[in-house]
Amino acid sequence: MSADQSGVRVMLVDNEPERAAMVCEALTSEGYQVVGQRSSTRGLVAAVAQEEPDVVIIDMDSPDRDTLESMSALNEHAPRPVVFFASDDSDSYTIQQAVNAGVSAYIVDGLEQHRVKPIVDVAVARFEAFQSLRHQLEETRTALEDRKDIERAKGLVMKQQNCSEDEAFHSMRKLAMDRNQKLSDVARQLIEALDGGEGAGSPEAMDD
Amino acid sequence: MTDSINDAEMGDSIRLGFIPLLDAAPLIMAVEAGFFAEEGLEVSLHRQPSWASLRDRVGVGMLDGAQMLGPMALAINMGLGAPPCPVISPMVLSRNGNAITARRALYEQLAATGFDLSEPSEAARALARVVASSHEPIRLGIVYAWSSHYLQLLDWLASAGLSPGPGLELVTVPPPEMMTALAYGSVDLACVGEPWNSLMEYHGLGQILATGCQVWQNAPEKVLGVRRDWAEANPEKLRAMMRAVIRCCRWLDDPVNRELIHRILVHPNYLGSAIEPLGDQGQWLFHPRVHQHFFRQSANFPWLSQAEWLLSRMRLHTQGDQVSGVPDLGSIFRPDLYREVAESLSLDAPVMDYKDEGEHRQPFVVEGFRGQVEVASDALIAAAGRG
Repeated sequence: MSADQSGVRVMLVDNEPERAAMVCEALTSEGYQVVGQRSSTRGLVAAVAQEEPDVVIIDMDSPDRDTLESMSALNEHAPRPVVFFASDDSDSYTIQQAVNAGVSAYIVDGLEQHRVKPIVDVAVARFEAFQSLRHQLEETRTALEDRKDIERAKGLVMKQQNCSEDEAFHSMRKLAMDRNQKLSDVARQLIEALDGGEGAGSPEAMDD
Repeated sequence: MTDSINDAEMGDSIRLGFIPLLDAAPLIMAVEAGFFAEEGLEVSLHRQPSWASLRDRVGVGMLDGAQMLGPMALAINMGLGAPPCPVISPMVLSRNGNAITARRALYEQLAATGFDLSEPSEAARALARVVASSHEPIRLGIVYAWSSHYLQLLDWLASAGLSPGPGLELVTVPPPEMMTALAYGSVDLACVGEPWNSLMEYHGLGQILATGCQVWQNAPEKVLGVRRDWAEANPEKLRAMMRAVIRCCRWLDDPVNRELIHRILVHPNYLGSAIEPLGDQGQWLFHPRVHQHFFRQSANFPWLSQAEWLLSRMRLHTQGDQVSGVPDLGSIFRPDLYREVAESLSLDAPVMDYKDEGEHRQPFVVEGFRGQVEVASDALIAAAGRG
């Protein structure tokens, strides 16, 4: 952390509060001053006038970006998009990486490029970390659901075939191999066939 | 969006971006009605949450091309608001499609002035009258500065000597929020693309006061924008893609297909359930006052005179000298490419690249390479004190 960065004021616009907290923490620990965290651009021009940030970091997929960019075309006090000029290869790499990670950055009063880049880098790293965290969560959740479905199907097969837990599991695994499907998919099909059929049938019978 | 920018994974599929508006139909229906497939093309469509992210994804090559605003096709080449990216625009996707919708309360005030609101410059004069007598500023909602709707709005205001200022405040609002903004009065006039004007009328929130086509008749609204490096590396694919889109545009203009178009566009991947009411009995998908169209009267031809016109309006209506320098418009709008593709579809096209913009109050004919070609009118609203 070079000393000249400590005075740089950053404003965050992100509707993912957890991700914003991660970016905020990382920037603060690098010595930046985070001067406001918002979930949308509503009232941003007024906030910029009040908080005087040097840089605004915003989630690339926020629909508010068009609002922000229009402000900058129409209002001289509004933040302007960071333009990394293509002449410098390392910078065009940064912008590509930023777009991939979903980070966009806007500068308010002509902060020099070499001072903006490390801020964007911090945000990109946090956005990427958040993304992989969410990925892991998603995978864990899927794994849990799979296990629940397999357990349930196993119980249904045991009841229907009047067999042991081991036998039920083996016949399910064989079915999965024969069909070249995942065990969890086979489990869900079995639940549908053994349980779903029964459930759907009964109210109809009652109507008759 | 999980696209990779790795060249090795580019595969054969063409990646195109769109914004959920009615004029995304040429790309959406070219996929859904099979026009791309008939040309042997595999195209994946990627809905974008904002014009800024569409531009950035084209800029870094995550998308090969996209539905673009006419002014955006120029801005992206000039590096306005983002690093410059060479993009070519070989055809227009749609003409007209914007309107200025007044909140009900404001519409009543405007009607009470006695001006003939069906005349756009009279409607603007009515607004000037209301602004002069109002204690509160009138708020104009716009979506994006580098767009035709914004430039049209300013030309419309200028027709009554008005411009944004203390009594007439500009507010920027994302399109899906425009309806709520109008409902709650955080904007009094909404200037936005379709289907939002139709929907605001349908929900009784406001009434269309003037349409884009009353300000600039049959202006190019959305264009096909393709990265130049992609176009140069894939000349055959580009031509096949244009053939598919041109054929789709012809199909879109046929009223027989309206129901199917609606059924596809209402899908959550495209425009979503917001447009459900536009399929109701008696409700139109394409508002009759907006005159949105895709093919007829040489709609797809990318006139260089219209690129010039757009550039001149961008220069006039933006702050300071943001729009400086003169880009080589002939390397952006590409009538030569359009002609070549039209020929391969046995369609005629104008032989010239320029026409006298603003001089035609009626449809007219120009020389084509097979015979004569019909071209739509192109009258432009006059600024106060002119014409």
